[in-house]
Amino acid sequence: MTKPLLRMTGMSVELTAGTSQVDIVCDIDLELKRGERLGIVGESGSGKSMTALAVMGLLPQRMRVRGELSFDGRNLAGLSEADYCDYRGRRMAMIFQEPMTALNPVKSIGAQIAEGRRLHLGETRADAEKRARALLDRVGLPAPRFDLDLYPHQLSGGQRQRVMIAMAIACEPDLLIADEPTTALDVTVQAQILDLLDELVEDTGTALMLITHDLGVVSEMTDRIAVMYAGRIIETGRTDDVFARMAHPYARGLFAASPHGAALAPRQAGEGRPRLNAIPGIVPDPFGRPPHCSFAERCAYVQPDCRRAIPALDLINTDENVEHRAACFHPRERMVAP
Amino acid sequence: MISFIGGRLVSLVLTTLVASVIVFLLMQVLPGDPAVLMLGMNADPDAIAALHRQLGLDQPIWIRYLHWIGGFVVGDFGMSLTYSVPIRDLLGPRILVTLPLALLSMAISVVVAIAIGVYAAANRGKAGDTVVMGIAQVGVAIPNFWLALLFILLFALKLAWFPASGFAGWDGGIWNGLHSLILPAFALGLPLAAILGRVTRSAVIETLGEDFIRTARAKGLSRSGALWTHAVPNALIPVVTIIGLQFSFLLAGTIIIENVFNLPGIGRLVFQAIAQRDLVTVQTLVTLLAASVITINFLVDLVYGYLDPRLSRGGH
Repeated sequence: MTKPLLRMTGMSVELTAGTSQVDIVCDIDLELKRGERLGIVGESGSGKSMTALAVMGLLPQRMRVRGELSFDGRNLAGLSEADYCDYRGRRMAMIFQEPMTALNPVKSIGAQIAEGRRLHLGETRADAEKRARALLDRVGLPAPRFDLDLYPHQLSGGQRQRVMIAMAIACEPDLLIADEPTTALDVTVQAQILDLLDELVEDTGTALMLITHDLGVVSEMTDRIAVMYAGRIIETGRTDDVFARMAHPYARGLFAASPHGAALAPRQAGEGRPRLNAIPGIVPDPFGRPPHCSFAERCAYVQPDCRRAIPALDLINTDENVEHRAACFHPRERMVAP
Repeated sequence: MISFIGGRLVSLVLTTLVASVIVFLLMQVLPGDPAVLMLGMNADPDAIAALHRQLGLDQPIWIRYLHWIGGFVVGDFGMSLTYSVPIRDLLGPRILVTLPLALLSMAISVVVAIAIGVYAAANRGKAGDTVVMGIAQVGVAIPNFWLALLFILLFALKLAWFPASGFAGWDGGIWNGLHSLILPAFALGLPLAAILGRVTRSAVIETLGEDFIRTARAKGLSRSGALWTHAVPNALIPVVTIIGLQFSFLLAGTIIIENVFNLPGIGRLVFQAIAQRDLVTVQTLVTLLAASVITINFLVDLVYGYLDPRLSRGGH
């Protein structure tokens, strides 16, 4: 086994609000190898974006990382701000959800793409812009229609996301984090952007951390997934295995609540498409998380012992050297998909 | 971009004309007959009538307006009633005092405001922010003439770094003239900087919260790199708006400050012309001041187009 590129061991993200502290993200154990594709799935507020921002060292001011977080063997938590700046954009890059607001409206797209290379590789403006031109071609924005001196407001959402991707891959990072890269886009454009990401990851061999709530996207794009709920990983394993088994009731619920999942579910003859099953209740707010399984209140299979302790992420199965684990006292047995 | 500038130019000319009409009408409704003022209360009615004819006051109001504005356009502003010299000759040397004073004050205001505003925004909520903004709050409340007196006391009388009043003229070199403008410029510019600094602070704080700042940081820019190359250029748009608005306060301020420092500038000329009921001079000067405010706002619009490509470059 090769050395992991990114390793989180017992990593938590702590939020200080006034005098109280709370863990937005708790006890994350995750590894990501070079060239591997990991999906992080969960509802809004499950802590998936915070996990990504923790890796980038861009957490909001009142948040702090606890536990081990290392990148290529170096402990990120102990990194000085200046050293972290050398990592960001060079070794690790991030694509954000909102292409409409994530680009600077008063700088040309050429300057924004070239910026990273000038900063990290010390390229001259001319060299970096030549490279930016090549990057724009690479992400499907060819000259002369898409010149470097265009401004973000002259582009559509999908085109802006392509510019974001060009910016992210400008310095050929080892790790690419994509936080809901297609959520804000039209469905038709979503597929194009995912295809582009897929192709780039394939070509460059960068590791991908794809954050999404869309199960269809993870099933197509990733090798492994981690399902997060209320700040914890509640199920993880090879994407195929997790999709086949869905040992945690929440993972199952997420699946049944997604149009993609419903479409995959076997249809009875003579019956219409089954209704989507919304998961009842809401994600507990970080300040009011129970001292037991945080899904217990919403779980259809809840048992008395579920309210006694927080379940550990137990091993369920090992497939191709990848462990399938779920944090449930009563993991589901039956396979979901055919 | 060309049509943008063209449209602004048309509106510049129209606004100036409207301003001139308003100024002219205001002067007409002011009580007091210039001829009576010039000849004295007990003057012979025939002499007054003769002077009326000489000044053109016996003609209908619209003829007088057209006559005046026609001369205005070609630079012939008419004769001053009190000095009996062409107003143009009064303006020349005085513009050379007021224009440098205004530009210097503006520069001081902008530089100080951006420095304190960006500093306070970058250190939001910390001691530095509180101190700087506390001082700025006091600065907003201080009237410029009082600040001018304080400066005269400290820098002119006590330290003797600058002259307390008067203008040395430009003949003895740039520094000679500038030297007498420095205190007035600070007295005029600093209170404006206090307001502009507060605007800058809130504009920078607002842009620092934008998504593209996080994008810049994710690219590897340091906190200050993202601040100066991404946040500040975006925050300049509202700041430039306020600079344009402040220019009229600045001109009003020169009237006071030039009197405090006894500078022979436009502001002082306006003040004297009003005191002496030199109506032609007053209406000419006020219209010129209005035109310069309108011109500055035209320039501000141009700067907008440069600062914000969304205004000057249409979408596809």
